[in-house]
Amino acid sequence: MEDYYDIDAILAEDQNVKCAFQSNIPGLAWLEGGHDDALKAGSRFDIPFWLARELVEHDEETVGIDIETPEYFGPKVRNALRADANTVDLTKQCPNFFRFGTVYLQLVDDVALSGVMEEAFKARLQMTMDHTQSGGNSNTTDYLNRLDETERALYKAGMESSASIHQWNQHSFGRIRSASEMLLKRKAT
Amino acid sequence: MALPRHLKNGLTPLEIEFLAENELIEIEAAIDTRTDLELLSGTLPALKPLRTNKVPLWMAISLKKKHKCNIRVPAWMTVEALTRTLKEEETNDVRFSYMPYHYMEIAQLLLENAMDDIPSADATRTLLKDLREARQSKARQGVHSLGESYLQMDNIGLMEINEIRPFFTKAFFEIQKLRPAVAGNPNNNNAYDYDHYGNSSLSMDGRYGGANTTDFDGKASYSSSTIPESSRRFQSTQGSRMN
Repeated sequence: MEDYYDIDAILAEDQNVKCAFQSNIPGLAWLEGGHDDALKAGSRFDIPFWLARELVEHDEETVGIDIETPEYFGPKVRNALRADANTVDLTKQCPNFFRFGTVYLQLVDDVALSGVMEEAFKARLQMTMDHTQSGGNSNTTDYLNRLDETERALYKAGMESSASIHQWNQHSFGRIRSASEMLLKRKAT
Repeated sequence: MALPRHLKNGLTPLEIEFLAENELIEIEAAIDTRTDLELLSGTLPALKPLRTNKVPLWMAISLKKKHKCNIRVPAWMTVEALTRTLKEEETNDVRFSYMPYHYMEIAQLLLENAMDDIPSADATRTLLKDLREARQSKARQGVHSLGESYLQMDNIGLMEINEIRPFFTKAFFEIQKLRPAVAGNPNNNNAYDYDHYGNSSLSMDGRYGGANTTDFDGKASYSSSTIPESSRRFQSTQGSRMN
């Protein structure tokens, strides 16, 4: 797995999904928090996504479970993304929307969702790029709050490169200045 | 490699400036070197006063600082040429108009070090700024057409590429990651085996339906009412937990 040591990928898989178990499973009741021995068929509760994947994908024996589509991948958000991707607040829906979407789609076949996500990502990308090049505008914070983690990383990368070009234009490279820590210290004393 | 983050994205503007200093430029020398100049990159013919010589930009700037030459403004950097390019840039929505690969760096170095050699330097500076903005907005349009395979941008300068590189490459990888489910995608090197689920019934609302599935190679269905093997396994895991 390419992302094995990537802490963001690990965090993305830690989203809870609601699962319905289709058969009795002896010895797993503690997952639900109960003290009985066997997990009853038909019980529904949240488990982390990585656990659900292990249960479904295990090589030797698989457990019959239904993974319910999380709300943020549901029709309401999908329609909002289709209508105007730029206005959807993805942090509120799921902070790792696109990353989790990627791993989710690796397990669950949902062509419609992958289409919606790709289109939404592209549409929002343009907005992100515009913001990186326009510098610090007044409505930036409002817009930054709507970005998910992936987009935020992109925004940061874009900001850094345009800032370095700007610095180069201003000839401020190679000039010797006092470190920002020193300035702070001087102010304090 | 443990590089600081701002060095990981590619070249820094200063490095690009350094590369641009190898471009040749015409100068009128005020000194006579008598012999050919032997440099690591090759031999330059001797500099003679009242003659134009082609030398690397770094040498031109160094001589200029010692008042030993005048730099000839390149043909693309005159006010007329820049006005023409700017007009072309604004009329053509898609393509970039032709500019040298290192135009931003050369223009900046010349404006900085050889102001007195550039007729109407202020107009040149304004035109270059307008040109850059027009091109920048075109590069921004490029995001729109960022597809799964490639992005065509002819005539774009190194500094401009370098500005959008970190953003575009990252965005590109993300887009590729977002379409793993497409069957037979050659870029698909994910750890998960989709064929394994090729037969499973997947209901339209995106649930993973394990109810009436038969496995690919004809194993028993997932939801057999008795789970002989797994029960033992789960019990043993729990046992070890309690210990």
